[in-house]
This record gives sequence, C-alpha cells and structure tokens, in this order.
Amino acid sequence: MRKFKLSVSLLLLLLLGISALAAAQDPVTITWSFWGDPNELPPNYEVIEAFEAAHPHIKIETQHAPWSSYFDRIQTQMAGGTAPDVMFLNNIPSYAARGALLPLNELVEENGFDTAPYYQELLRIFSYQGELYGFPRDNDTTILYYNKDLFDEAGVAYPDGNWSWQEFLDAAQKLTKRDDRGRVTQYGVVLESNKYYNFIHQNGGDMFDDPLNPTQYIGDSPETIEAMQFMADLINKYEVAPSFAQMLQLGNSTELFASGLVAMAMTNAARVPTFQQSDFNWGVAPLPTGPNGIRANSMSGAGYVISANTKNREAAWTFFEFLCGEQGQSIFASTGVAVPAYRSEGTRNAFIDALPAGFGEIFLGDTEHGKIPPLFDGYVELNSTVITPALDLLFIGEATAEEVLTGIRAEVEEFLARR
Amino acid sequence: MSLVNGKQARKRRSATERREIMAAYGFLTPNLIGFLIFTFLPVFVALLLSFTEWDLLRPIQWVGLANYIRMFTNDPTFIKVLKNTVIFVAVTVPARIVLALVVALALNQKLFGTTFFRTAFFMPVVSSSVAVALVWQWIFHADFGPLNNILWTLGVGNPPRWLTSTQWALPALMIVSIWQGIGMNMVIFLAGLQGIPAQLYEAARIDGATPWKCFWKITLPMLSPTTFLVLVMTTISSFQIFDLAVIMTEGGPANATNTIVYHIYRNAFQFFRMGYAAAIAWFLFIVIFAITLFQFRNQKNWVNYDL
Repeated sequence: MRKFKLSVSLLLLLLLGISALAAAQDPVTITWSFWGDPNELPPNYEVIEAFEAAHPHIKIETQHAPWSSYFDRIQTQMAGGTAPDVMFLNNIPSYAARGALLPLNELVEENGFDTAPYYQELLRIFSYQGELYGFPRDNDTTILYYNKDLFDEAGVAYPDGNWSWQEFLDAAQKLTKRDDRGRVTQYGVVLESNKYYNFIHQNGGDMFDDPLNPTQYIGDSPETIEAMQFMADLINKYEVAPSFAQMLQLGNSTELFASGLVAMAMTNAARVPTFQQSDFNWGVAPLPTGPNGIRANSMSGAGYVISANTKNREAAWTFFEFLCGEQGQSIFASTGVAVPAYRSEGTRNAFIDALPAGFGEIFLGDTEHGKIPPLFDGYVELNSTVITPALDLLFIGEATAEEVLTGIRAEVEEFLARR
Repeated sequence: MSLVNGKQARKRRSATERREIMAAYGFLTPNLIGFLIFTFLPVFVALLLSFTEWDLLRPIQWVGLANYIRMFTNDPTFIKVLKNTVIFVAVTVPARIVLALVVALALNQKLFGTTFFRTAFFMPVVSSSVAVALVWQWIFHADFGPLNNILWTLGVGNPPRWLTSTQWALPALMIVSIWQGIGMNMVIFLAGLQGIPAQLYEAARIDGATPWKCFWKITLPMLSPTTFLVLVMTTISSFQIFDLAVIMTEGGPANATNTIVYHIYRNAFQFFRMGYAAAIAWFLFIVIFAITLFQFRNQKNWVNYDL
C-alpha cells in the first residue's frame, strides 16, 4: 500500500513535471540574419545545428542576403519593426544611436556572460555611450602577403617579421618592373584605400582625438601627414603600388596578388583560402613598423547584435550567448578564415590548427597591436563627403598630404560641431 | 425627316461614344491603379518627406524648408554634383542628338551593309550598362588601355590619365554616355526620316535644289517633331546619369564624376538622410520639369507638324 501510494505520487509528480516543462518550453523561433558568399556559410549552419541540439525548444530561422543587398534589406526591416532577432552587422554606433539595437550591459551582467576573452579594444566599437550593443565575430587584421617566387626571382630576402617602412619600400622598389616606355608591368605591392589607418597608427598619428567620440580633428598633425604622404608616395613617387582609381580598372588587391602581377599585398587575413588556389609559392608576415618602431594593425570587424524590437528577448539572448560564447566562436575560428575576436585557448588553437603551419601565430600576434579606426554616428557621411574626396586627390597625385589634410580642417570641424 | 434622322444619328453616335469611353477607362484602370500606387503616391510622399528629417528609425521631424536651404548653403558636395551634372547635360545632349542624326542620315541610304551598321550602332543600347562600363574602364586605362596606346603611337607624349584624373574623368564618362546614347536616338531619327514623303525630294530635285538645300529645307523641318521628341527624352535621361558614374568611378576621383542622382542615392541609403535626399530629388524634378516645359512652350518656333 505504501509502495502504491509512493508510486502514485511519483507518477503525479512526474506528470506535473512534464506539463510544467512543456508549458515553459513552448517552441520559440528566433530569426538570425547574416551576409556571406556561399563558401562562407557552412559554419553558420554548424552553429545552428549545435545550438538546436542543446536547446530543442528554440528553432533558428536564417535570413541570408549577399553583402550588396544585405544592409538595404536590414534598414527596411528595422524601419518596419520586423528586423531579425539576431543580426550580423557592422557600423554598430550608427544603429545604436538610432535605437535599433538592444542594449546588452544588463543582460551580460545578469547572465554572468564572460566578456574577458574578447579584445577589449574591439569591444569599444561595439559600444555606444557606455552601453554594449554586440560582440564582434572576427577582427579585420591586415597581413602582408608576399609572393616567394617573385622575391626569389628578384633576389630579395623574404620579410623577416621586423621590417621597417624603409626596408619594405626598398623591397617593393626591387620588386617593381617596368617596360621600355616606363610603364609598370609588375608592382612591388598592392594597397587598399581604406587601410590607411595602419600607416597613420604606425607613425603615431591619428585623425581625431578620440575615435569614438571625437571633439578635435588632428589629421593635420605632422605624424598623420607624414604617414599619408608615405602611403601616397608608394603610389605616385616610387610607383611601386597601383593607384586606387586604377585598381577600379585593374582589379582589387586580392585579384592582383592572386594573379601573380604584384609581389606583395596588404590585405585581410581572410584571403588565405583564395591564395591557396594560386599556382605560386607565397608567405605571410606582420605589417612593417613605422620610423619609430611602432607596430600597429587594424582593429575592426563585423559582429552580432540583438534587435531592439525582438519579441523573444529571452530566447534571442540564449542563442546570442551561445553564438558569441566559447562554443559558437570556436566553430567560426576552426574555419581559419578570419582572426577570431574571441581569444580563448580553445578558439586560438582551433584557428591555428586550421591554417598552414606558422600562419596563425603571425595573424594572432599582429592582431595584438590592433588599433581602432574612427567610428561614430555620422562618420560614414563625413568620410565619404569630406575625407575620401580629399584623399582621392592625394592618392592620384594631384595634391600633397599636407595640402589635403590641412585643407579639410574647417569642414571636418564644422561637421564635428554639428554632431 | 432628314432632321429627325440626323438627331437619331447623333444620339446613336453618342451612345457608342459613351460605351467606347467606358471601355477605354476599363482598359486604362489597371495601368492607372499601378500609376497611382507606384508612381504618384511615392512621388507625393517624397514631396512631404522633403520637408522632414528622417533616418528610417528615429521619428520623423518636420523641418520646413531646411533641406532646400541646406542644399545651397551647407553642402559643398551638392554644388559640385550640380555643376558636374549641368556640364554633363550641356555636352552630351547636343552631341547625342547631332551625332545620332548624322548616323541616321548615313544609314538611311540604300547601300550595302546598312543593316549591319544599324545593328552595330544600336548594340550599346541593348548591352548591359555594367558590362559596357567594365569594357570602357579598360579602354580608358591610363597605361595599358587601347585608347592611350593609340594616342601614344600618334605621338601624344603625355596622354590624359582619363578616369584617374579629376580633369579628364568627367569627359571620359561623357564619351561613354554619348556612345551609349546614339543608338536609340538614331533609331528614332531613322523612323522619322522614312516618314518623309519621297515626292517632296523629287519635286525639289526637279526644281533644281542641291542635296544640301534639300537637307535644310526639307529634311530638317520635316524631321522637327522627331527631333523635338529626341531632345526632350535625351535631356531628361542625361540629367539622371547614375549607373556609369557608380560603376566606372564611384563618383571619384575627388567627386569629379559625382552626379545629382548618385548624391541622392548616397544621402538616402548611406547617410540615412531620407528627407534631404527627397528634397534633392524634388529639386531635380523641378529643374527637369521646367526645362521640359520650356521646350514644349518653345516648340512652336521650330517644330513643324504640318503635312
């Protein structure tokens, strides 16, 4: 009898438990949006698979769009209040300022989410006015790729990891070839126009007193002018690099390096799989240091945010926590495509293992010297209406760095004052 | 009796007429609905938006005429793109019309190969803008492009840097646009030329008129309605230059090829200034409308619809 009573009450308890569980765990669907070429997508689906296995009551629905149309689409969805719950995004401050993103400080604290493994500098561009709005997936580390065959042919020693600007320039000059009319037929190096901050930071310069909350323009300081002039001289004076306007015609840095027409490329760490398909030998090195021995690299990247309009805050956070935590980040790191922004033992090892021997250490090592570029609400507009047109003149050789950088002072100051 | 018949006839006609009018509206309805929803409404909303500040997410703010004032007082880029666009229109519109007419006259002869050349001149019209822009980018390449190679062989020691020069980028774009625009105008001119009755030329020839006189006294006046259509269409499309600038130069270098429509696009979708973009769009609309209106008013001075 007692046995029977016990089993009945046990059964009741069990039934109660099941119903309570069922009530608490009504299936929820979370939408997650991202961009990417088809070959970049598999890790996303791997994350979903791992997450859904651990959280059977949350279903992840994906919204994928190519880079070219992704942002217009997200903008429209945000305006209509139907933005995906979790989004892959860049330029975080401009969306945060407009109230489109869910502030995360409270959630991070409540759930004890560990932000320590992230590059703290990188987290700054995912914040706006002291509030965190997202976590980066990877860092946009710039790498010096070099074509070993062309180096051997020209008898130039490979970069030893401690190159200065001068050594870099010397090598680039030896690696540049011209035809009888003086036209360059092989460039020493190919640069990217939006990576000029590397040169500025390597020379101890900057554009603004504070990259996230600028009050002062310092782009006409001697350090900044010198750095920009050095970069422009590579194109116009020494003619060891193609101009950016020309690259619209010739091809971008990835295409030019992969075609074997340039000896070095300063571009994103994510190019390894592309260059692995080329038929020449190549290596990687950290960026050269400025005249005063300063090392600097880029620190920026896209990452994940939660929509301010999400209807499932809890579930969205559960997925977000998984995505931005050790497990999710390890899946991305193990592709070896981009330098992980989350630098735990696990992600570092996964990243190093995914790359050819020696590469991972160089990528991670130079990322430690990352400095963030300016990024604030309105920066995109300031950049494309004032800064870029000025730098265009510099890069096509119609003006000097001093002329253009002092020339825009009034306009930049007026823009900053209007903010 | 005849009066009664006449009355009946009138009555019958108006009944048919009414039915026909109803039928016409019936056929027009789908198009009218489409026009109202997809053209008139957005244009009207854009007018309202042009008096506001809106970044898609924050609430819309009424700012009155501030956007229109900003254009001329606080946006140096706008002044630049306005200048570029006006220069572009001033050069390409006459060129596209005159050259198209010359080509049409040449291809209106009954000679061997005209069909081939008509097709060839029309090709750019049906080619994708992107493909066209990419090929021209290569043609204009300062060091290795065929154009500068030709100039170099002809003895031009320092040929223009074309797309990589603030001075030559806009002319380069004009050349492509003219090349691209000739085909359509040529076809319209050809249709117009073939509509001119042959007996006019016969009569003139019997009276001893030279071919040159025939052209000035018969062809041009008889062609004037066609020329008018071509002028209006070409002017409107030239003001809207956008795709070539985006693909070939991204508006650069240093805004040398930036245009009004590209500026509208950037303000709306890159800087999230929807209100300001709408204001520029309306400014452009008013400019085009005023010019078209002037062209219509002015046509009585030179357009000949008789015969």
